Amino acid sequence: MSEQQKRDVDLDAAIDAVAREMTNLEAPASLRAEVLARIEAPAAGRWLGWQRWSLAAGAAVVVIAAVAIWWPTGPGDVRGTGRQAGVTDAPSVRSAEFQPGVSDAPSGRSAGLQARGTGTAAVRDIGLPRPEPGQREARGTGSASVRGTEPEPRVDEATPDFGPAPLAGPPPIAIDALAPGAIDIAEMQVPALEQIQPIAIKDIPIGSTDPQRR
Amino acid sequence: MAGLSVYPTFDPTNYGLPVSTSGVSDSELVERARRGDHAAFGTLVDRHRTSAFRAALAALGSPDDAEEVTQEGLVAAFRHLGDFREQASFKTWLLAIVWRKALTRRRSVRALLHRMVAPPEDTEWQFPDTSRSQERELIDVELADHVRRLIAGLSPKLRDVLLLTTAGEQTYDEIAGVLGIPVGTVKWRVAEARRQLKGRLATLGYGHV
Repeated sequence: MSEQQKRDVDLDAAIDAVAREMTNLEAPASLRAEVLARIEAPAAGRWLGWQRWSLAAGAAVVVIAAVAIWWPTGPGDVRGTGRQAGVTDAPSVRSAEFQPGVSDAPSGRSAGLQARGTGTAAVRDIGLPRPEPGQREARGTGSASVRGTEPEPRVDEATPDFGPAPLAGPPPIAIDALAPGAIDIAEMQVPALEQIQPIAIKDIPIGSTDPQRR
Repeated sequence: MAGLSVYPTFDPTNYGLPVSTSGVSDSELVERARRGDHAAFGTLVDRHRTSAFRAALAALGSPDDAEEVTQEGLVAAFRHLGDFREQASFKTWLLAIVWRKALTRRRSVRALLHRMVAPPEDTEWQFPDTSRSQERELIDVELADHVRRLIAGLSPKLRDVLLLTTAGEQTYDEIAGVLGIPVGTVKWRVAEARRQLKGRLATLGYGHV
């Protein structure tokens, strides 16, 4: 064995010895007891964990149910502020029949209120009676999420109609005629249009070879 | 006053007499443990705790961390005994669990911060007291210090296989199973680790390359 090989073997031996030293420790004798203690103890811990998860799930269900109840049910719901006193949240009213000239848009913006959308689903929410056929239908600007302490006013005969006043239609545009006339501008003068004589178009009989017939 | 009695209370429904498990195979102990026999699992712990501990120590370098990780791995193994399909030996399966936990610990934020503060070359590997080791007496103290520092400075892949093989607790096949790599890769990494160590030792004046 050459000197180089001998030196190589020595280095390998040194590496082996040092590497072995780096992991040459016995596991603690208490390991078994600690592991068994942890195996047996977690039964209670896991039960508590299960209880915690059940509790959390129950709480989540309650929160979801509450949100589902109180959340606006449609785009026509109104989130009132309850700041106005004695004023209903002005559900807009739409006629059962189409009435030209009457605005169909829900106002929903009485004092202190903000209407959102134009939905019609809030009749249930504000406790309004269902409209009979032919009656006027209260539109869904109800108060499912009205926050306030005032009691909700009910809409009945005694309650004045806070619906939007019919909008006055725009006056009709009156245009008499577009009579051709001369335009007289200082820089430009356009003569009056001349009357064009009617053009007579003769009939082309059936079977005619006139190429115009094709 | 019953608790102060020096005599063990006889329980006619529980014949908890110690039973020798020296001749019982790992598979049988696993089967018993699956049925809720904690003592059987305790026997498995006794059989393989040192291998598991040394594997964790090879990955982490700290006996305290290695003990924690070994304990976590053993508990995890018990809880997942149902997943053990006996495609490998129980020892390999257990060591794989401990190894994964050790790697997770090594990659933890705390370990990363520690390495940022102290680079690997300067990391103080917590050696066991080997002052009376016969092998150590044959090695030059200064050389041993260099080798230790250079091993600590190896890349983790090379250092892991070198320490696992030299620990003598596992065969190449078992190490390959634990690390999830081919046996050939294990052998190559060991050879490469030695080559790099010897090359660096040569620059320090030990031997020639």
